[in-house]
Amino acid sequence: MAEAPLVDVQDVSVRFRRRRSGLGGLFGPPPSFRAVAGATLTVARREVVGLVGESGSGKTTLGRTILRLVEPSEGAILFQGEPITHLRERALRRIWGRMALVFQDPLSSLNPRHSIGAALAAPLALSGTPKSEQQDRVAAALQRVRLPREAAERFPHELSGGQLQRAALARALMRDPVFIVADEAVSKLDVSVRSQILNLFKDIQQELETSFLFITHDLHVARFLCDRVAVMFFGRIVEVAPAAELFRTPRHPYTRALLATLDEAGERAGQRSAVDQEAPGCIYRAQCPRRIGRCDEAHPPTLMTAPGHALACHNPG
Amino acid sequence: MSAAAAIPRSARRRGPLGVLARNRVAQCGAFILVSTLLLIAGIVLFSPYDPNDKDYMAILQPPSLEHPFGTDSFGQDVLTRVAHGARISLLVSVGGLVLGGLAGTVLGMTAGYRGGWLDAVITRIVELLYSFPTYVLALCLMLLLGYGASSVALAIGLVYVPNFARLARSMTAQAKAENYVTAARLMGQSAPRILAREILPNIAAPLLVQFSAGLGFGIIMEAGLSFVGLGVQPPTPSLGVMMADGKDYFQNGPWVLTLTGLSVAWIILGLNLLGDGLRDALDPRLRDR
Repeated sequence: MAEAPLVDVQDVSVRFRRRRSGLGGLFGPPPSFRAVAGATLTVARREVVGLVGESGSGKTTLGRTILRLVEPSEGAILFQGEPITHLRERALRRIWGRMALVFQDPLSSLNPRHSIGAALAAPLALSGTPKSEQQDRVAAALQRVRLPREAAERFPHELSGGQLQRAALARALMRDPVFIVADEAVSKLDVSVRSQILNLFKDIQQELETSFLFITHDLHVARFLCDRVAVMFFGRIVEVAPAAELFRTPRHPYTRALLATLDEAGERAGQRSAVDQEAPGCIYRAQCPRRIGRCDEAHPPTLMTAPGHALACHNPG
Repeated sequence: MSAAAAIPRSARRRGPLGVLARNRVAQCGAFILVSTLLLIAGIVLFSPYDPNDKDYMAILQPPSLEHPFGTDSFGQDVLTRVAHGARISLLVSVGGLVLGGLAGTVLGMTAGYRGGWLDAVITRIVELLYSFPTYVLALCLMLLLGYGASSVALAIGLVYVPNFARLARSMTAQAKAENYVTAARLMGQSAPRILAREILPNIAAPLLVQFSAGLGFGIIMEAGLSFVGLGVQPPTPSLGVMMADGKDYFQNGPWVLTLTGLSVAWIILGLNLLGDGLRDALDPRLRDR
């Protein structure tokens, strides 16, 4: 890879503090929960990276950490080569001009008291764009996501789910970001609308050459949209590979289990049981059909098994 | 793949004005208030008497056609004085609540949004204020600030700071977790801008309810302070001053105290009906969020 990656996530962990409870809570270190454990991931310019896993696997937390809405407890995050791991909000505001987030629920991401036009114009007003130009740019933004011009005067509760997600995408694009995190951006939409919105994402990505981190539990979506796919399980990235390769020759047992559910309605791979995060050993060993002795000793290191194919497994298939 | 040929416009109007159209209690309160305010304005403008015109030939006359509320011990027309007094009491109450509402909302929203040590400090101060019995707090303030209408307004304001601060704090803390606030942060908006533009419009309705509910109490406070002689001072007619005056000759002219008191009760009834109606009508929406 000649070019430096746009987003470089190096061995990032995120700990959430748990509420202390009971008498035991009074003593010892505050209990914590690792939502993300040692995640390493890059997103190149113009690249669409998928982040797949079950709900609760930490994909949303990782996405928010890359945007620095969450501060990582360990590791480093570089954006366009600049470390942003521990920047404060004031400094982040400059970075956020080049990043954007598309939420799972577009209705909640738009202020119910603002019209779509006002929501789209807000970042323009901040940068001192004159009123007349604001209107033109709002109209252009709406056109880009194929919403009619009059949508600018509507309020969020007046739009349908698909229209809302278009409006939310339009707003995310207002400041010409180079990197967008889309967090389950289509999972709440009807199947019929979903494909339209997915096509829209694809068109816009090709038109604007924006990089995406596409968080989804839907492998169909990942296969349709992504150049590379990272698979997460209980806070750990277990496999990263080019999309075609991952779907053709998955190597991690969990990826295989996940792919096996592709043709079924189910979204889950295997039974979920409580995983002891602090115990040594592979995070997936309790469910793993390929478990060997070493799996109980330590979580496997992430190794490059082929160009662009990273894997964390002692006994890959 | 046209996304939307036409987007239907929803006709529903939300917010306090829309609520007024639906809630009977609020309508009732609004009717009492508006008609009373019109009456007060009419009397202030067109009454043949001046509130401070003394007519020693007509002292302590019972209600009659000439003097519907009778006259007091100086021969002043009680109805005219009630109207002027109500105007002053309302101004003091509104002024106090505007002050208290603004200060409390700013403090509460700051605490709720920033969190951390600033939240802890503001919350402690607010709780300290809240733990005082309201009248004791107001009396102390009057002694500190001196008597007079503006001091009464300040005292009412200070008494109301905790109410607004607590309400604003909890609602802001809740709104802060909403996705649209995160979206606004990512769009580069600063904290004061997010508070004013994104959060305030969404929490304004309950604050307005608090405001309208507080107005009645403000009038009672003004009357109470003036009644014991620590509020608005005698030549100026205020409802409390008049009641204090009326109690001295209750035996000879019971109508002065009684009718002034009933006027206070009537105005407060209107304010409370409006406040309660607004609160009831807004509650289900609050539970929805």
